[in-house]
Amino acid sequence: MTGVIEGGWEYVVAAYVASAVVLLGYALSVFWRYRREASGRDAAL
Amino acid sequence: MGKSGWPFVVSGLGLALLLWGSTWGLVFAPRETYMGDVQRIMYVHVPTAWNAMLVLTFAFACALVSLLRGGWTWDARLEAAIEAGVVLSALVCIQGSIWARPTWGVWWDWDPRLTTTAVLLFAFGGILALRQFVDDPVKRAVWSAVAVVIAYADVPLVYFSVRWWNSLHQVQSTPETVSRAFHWPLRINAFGVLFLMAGLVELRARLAFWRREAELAPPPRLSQAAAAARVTT
Repeated sequence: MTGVIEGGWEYVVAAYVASAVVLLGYALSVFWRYRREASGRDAAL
Repeated sequence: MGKSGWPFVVSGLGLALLLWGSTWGLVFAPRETYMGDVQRIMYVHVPTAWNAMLVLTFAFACALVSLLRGGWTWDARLEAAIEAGVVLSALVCIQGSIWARPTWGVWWDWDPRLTTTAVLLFAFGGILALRQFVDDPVKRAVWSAVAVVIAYADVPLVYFSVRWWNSLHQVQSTPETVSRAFHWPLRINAFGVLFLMAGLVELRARLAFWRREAELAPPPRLSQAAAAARVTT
């Protein structure tokens, strides 16, 4: 036991993929809802 | 609320910074002596945590202004900030859990920092759900603003939990305790998440404001009758 963590790249990749999925997913969800609402308002005017 | 395009530019800048900071953290930053490569998770985990607390602080400010001054603009900003805060708090829990497994040997522990963060996630998630269930816009605005002011008490508990109680989670690092080689990816990603969320909160607030406008507008028949009455008088 050295107290040093060996390897662990699979956890690093998992954390970055989870971050990308959540942040990009939320960004796309907001963009999509905004576009839909904005085009609906434009059509109503 | 206007329709200017600055939130798209700011969000795009945020995504570009995140790509830059993450590449730096994954490829160019040195390996940490004890935690090895697992430490690279910090470059996304810490900026997410900082921004979660920041956006919930903005939600708290919106709640206070909404209660003191009223107005649908602040209620719309409140709704947007709560949603962004819930997304970031959920992401912090996911990233923290992935980091905990190789370093602590468990995915989750009811340690003070993790428990207070979970309380934060469920409290603000509950407020978001409350907004869906209340039909009256005035009651919805007041009740959710009061709930946010109460739930915000957990934010300082999250921050100070590692200092006040014996916690598995490490105490906050400072520029004096972190090597300079680790600073830049952390800072770039912090600004990346900040810019991305600033743009998204503005867009989400506009969306909430337009929905409130539609909700408060008189029904079509009534507005047609009013228009007809104006024509005849």
